[in-house]
Amino acid sequence: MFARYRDRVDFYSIYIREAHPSDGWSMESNDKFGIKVAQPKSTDERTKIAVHCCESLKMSMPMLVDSIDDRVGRAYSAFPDRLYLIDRDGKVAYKGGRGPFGYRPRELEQTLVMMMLDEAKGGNKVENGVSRDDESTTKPESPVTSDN
Amino acid sequence: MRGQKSEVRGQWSIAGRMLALARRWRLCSHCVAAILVGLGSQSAARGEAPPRQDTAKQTQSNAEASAGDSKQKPADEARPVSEAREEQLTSINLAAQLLGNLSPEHMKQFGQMLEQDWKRRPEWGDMAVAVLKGEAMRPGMGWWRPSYRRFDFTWLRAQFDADTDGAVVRAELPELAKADQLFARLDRDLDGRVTATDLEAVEPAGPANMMASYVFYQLDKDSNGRVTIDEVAGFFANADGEDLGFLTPEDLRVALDDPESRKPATRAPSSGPTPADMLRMFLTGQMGWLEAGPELGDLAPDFTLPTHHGSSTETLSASRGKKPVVLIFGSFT
Repeated sequence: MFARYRDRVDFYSIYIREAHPSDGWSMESNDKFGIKVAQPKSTDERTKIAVHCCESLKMSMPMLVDSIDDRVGRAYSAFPDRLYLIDRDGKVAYKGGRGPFGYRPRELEQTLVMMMLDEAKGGNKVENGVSRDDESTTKPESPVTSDN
Repeated sequence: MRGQKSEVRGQWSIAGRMLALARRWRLCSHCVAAILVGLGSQSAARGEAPPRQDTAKQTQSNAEASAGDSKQKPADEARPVSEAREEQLTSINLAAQLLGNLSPEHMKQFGQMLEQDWKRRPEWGDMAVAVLKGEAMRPGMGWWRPSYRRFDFTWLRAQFDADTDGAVVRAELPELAKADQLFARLDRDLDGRVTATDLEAVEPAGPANMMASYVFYQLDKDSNGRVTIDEVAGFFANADGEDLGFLTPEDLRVALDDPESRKPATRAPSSGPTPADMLRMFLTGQMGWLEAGPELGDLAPDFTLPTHHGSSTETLSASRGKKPVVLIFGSFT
């Protein structure tokens, strides 16, 4: 996705807390690939793991490392993994579900394509996540937090 | 004896914290009572229940102390992070221990009580209820909700379905989406028409999809989510063991076979985490953080973070007014 859209969109992967550290909720699928990582205790330690991860997965996307107090990860409630699309005005246009079940890169990509279509169409000025001239989008398909 | 005492104190400090939380989230008295009964029954079961009057007083003062916490935030922040975290972890572990020691039946009742009494609960409240009720981990459980999107099929149809036939075809889209690659992103089932199901979260069914995932997994030797020409060449060379320069269906069958899939699991198949395990994992943040994160349309919280090489930093707001930004949060594990 990064290679396809990098000219139009800024991509950041943000390295946060380990989801399945060897000293926590370990996973067989990690063992299988020889990935054995303990939960880092400092930002430096986390950075080292991030570098290792980047190299083994041959990632080309810019990778940022969250500080050990998980400041950014918490602000986005991004554990264990999560996707966001932020529009040109700095507003959230896509908030993926919480990982692991909500992690849907293809859905993000569709939203991105539609955002590009929106801009190609002359880009309705978008405010508060709702395009001004289209009533139907005031109700996102996704559920609202529990009612009453 | 000393350990017991501090444990009792710990319990009431949790009760205090819960009361403070209850106030912050405007829990009704039933709900608070339920929490206290839950904690109280636990200490009673161990013969550790402090005398009643003291209890009420202590809980009250603790609640006040906790409620005051928010005002003392600067001081709180000045404390070393590790110390605050240590204390927090101790309380959480205790809470998990107390609630986790309830029988599954009691946990379930407690969850149901919370669900009933705590109407305006945040996202994590849904998760707490689901965990207490012993629901299995699956999409849709607790806080595992679908995504929130500004652009969905309703939007697409309203914008581009010129002939209002309920489907968007290539000709109805702006030039940029007519390219095969981009159009295929929208038209997931590849039938030439973008309909509601193409934008649903479900994977398109059919043998092509299953085959694609399987073959991809076999070809992507370094498991980095990308198949390169070298990986394809390596696969071919390997499959064509006799170096004939071509493959037969039989060669392919052998090459695509995955001996790993026949190996027995190296760990004993577990019956999944118990409700008590789930509760502990939830409370200790192993299932996600309690914060909700920015909502759709909110200004995304700004940040400046170093790159993994440490050579530079990137700031989210630097893209504002220039480009959209995709944020991908995750870890190696």
